[in-house]
Amino acid sequence: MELGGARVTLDAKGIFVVTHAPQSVLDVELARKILDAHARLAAGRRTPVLVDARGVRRADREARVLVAGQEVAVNASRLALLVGGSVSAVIGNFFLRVSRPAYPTRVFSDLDEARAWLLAGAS
Amino acid sequence: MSIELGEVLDLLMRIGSGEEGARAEPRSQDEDVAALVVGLNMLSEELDHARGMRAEAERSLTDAREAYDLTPALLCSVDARTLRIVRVNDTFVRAVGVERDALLGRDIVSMFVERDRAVAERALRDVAAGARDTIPELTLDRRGGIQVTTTASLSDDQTRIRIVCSDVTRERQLESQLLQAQKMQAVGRLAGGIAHDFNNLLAVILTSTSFARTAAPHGSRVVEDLATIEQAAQRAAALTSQLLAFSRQQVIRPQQVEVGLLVRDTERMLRRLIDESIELTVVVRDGPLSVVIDPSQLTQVLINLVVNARDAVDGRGRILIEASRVVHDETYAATQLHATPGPYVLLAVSDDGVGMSPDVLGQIFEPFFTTKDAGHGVGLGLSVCYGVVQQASGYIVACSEPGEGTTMKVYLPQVGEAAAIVADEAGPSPGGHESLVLVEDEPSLRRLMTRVLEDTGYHVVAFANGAEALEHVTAQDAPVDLLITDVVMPQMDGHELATQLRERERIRAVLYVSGYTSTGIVRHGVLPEDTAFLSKPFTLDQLLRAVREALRP
Repeated sequence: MELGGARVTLDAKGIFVVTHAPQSVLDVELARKILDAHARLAAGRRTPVLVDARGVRRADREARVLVAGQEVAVNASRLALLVGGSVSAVIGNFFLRVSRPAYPTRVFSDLDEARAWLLAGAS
Repeated sequence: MSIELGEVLDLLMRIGSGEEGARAEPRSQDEDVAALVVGLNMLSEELDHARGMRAEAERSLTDAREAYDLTPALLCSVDARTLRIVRVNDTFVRAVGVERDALLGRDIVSMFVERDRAVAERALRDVAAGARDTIPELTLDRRGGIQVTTTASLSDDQTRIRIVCSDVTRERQLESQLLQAQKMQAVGRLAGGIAHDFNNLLAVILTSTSFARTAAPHGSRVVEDLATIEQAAQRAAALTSQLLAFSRQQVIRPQQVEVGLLVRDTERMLRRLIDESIELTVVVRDGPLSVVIDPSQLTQVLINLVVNARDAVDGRGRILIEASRVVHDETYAATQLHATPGPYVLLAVSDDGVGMSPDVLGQIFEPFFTTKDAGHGVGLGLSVCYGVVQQASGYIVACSEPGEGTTMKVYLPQVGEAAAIVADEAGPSPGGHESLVLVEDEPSLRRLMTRVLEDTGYHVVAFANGAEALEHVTAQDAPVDLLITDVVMPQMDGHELATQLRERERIRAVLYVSGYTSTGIVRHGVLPEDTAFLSKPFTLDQLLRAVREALRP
């Protein structure tokens, strides 16, 4: 499902995957669309969430606050944030500490590791 | 260092210097550098947000501080163990008239009048133990005499007691006035009812006596007896007439009366009522002084007051009758149950006689209350005055201290053209920046005067008595510009205080304030001539003008 700046799917393993487009901006409007899409696709279940943020050029504070909040926790069992490299990972981890999401969250720079962690939590 | 890293460092420096809205575009092809820029942008945004939150918190704190200081309640925090004051708001400081620094660290219990201290301490100890959160009504002392209702609560960490006092002094004064008025109304109703019935009975007695005299043999013993009965009945009728006057049920013929003229016209008769050894002075100011009242009744009031003054000076002394105009402003009117804002004619009778105790003062208007010996009045004179003045929509105030004489003040609403002249002076009330020391033993008036003077720029330190003022002013480095003092006070009167401070060169000028009239107080020898003087009650404008005038070199 294309949301304008991000694409979302529920894959065969039951992971809700968010893939941000290259040079995209995560603002509160897009974050809201992603949350709504997740709610629809999850259909009342809590699913793992994989966010591929490698293309994100900017993430507004309002959007960060929204995605770290209880609204996401309703549908997300845990969230893996996929970033481009070690520097991005450090930065991602720093902001995880700042925003303290209401659900288990980890930063990965390797897609397989991220999926494995998500599925381990689902089992 | 690459250009790209330089841009990152530049952004970092901008963020570090506290620049609001410091951001950079992540243009680098290097993924790590771009990630750094994205991260720094987010960091800068978080810092902006935190700064905004902090500014908002500071605004809230400022608002809370202002609210804490501006609230009309007296707020105070004390150490729960020692009961010593750790924090007070501006209202508390103003109300008790003590500098904040002098309050901090002081035992809160000592702030109450002596009779309340044990109760206050017990109650606060209970609060500290978590056993209660209300305290009985207490009276703050020191520069106080302020009646307060109090609630107290223990802080969450149990180290402090937060005390909230509401000043109810004015309410209690008005309640007291209301109770007195209700008592007088009840007594008046009773007296009026009795007088009506008595009048009917007396009419029967007088008529029957008259018939019997006609029928009795001329020159017989019966005629003499009937004449005695008739005289007694007529004296009884005069008494009932006075009772009716007190109960405001007398038939009256109100008309516009010029009080100054009435006083002048009555002066000769009044002189005949008193001994030659008593000096009688009549002063009429601010005419015309028109009121609506039955003139014969006002004459009766004047006679009764002068007769009382005559008896108080006991053969030798001075009596002063003054008629003048006063204007009650809303603030003053709010302190007097029967007063309304506007112009009044004041008719005052002062004497330098024995004076009265507060207990006696509380009863003087009650019918048949008298301090005179048997055969010297039945105790209806002031009752009649009270009823007559009330019937004319006025009120009467007694001001007296044992040994200091008495001033009886009759206030009657001014009518006619003269009533339109409500202010003596034109233009805004003057203020200033001089240092003032105020000594006034009446707490609510002291607080009011302090507030007014401070609001107009003066630096005011207020005291409840002369001894405290003397100690404070003597200890100061520089002399104060003006001492404003009540004249008649317990322990040390205002004149003595001013004399001592003048001798020590601690004051530059003095303004005396008194419930007694200016002429009276000077003539009685309490104050020297040419004294700056303000007579109570006064409007706020009159106070400010009197202060400005007294400060004039």
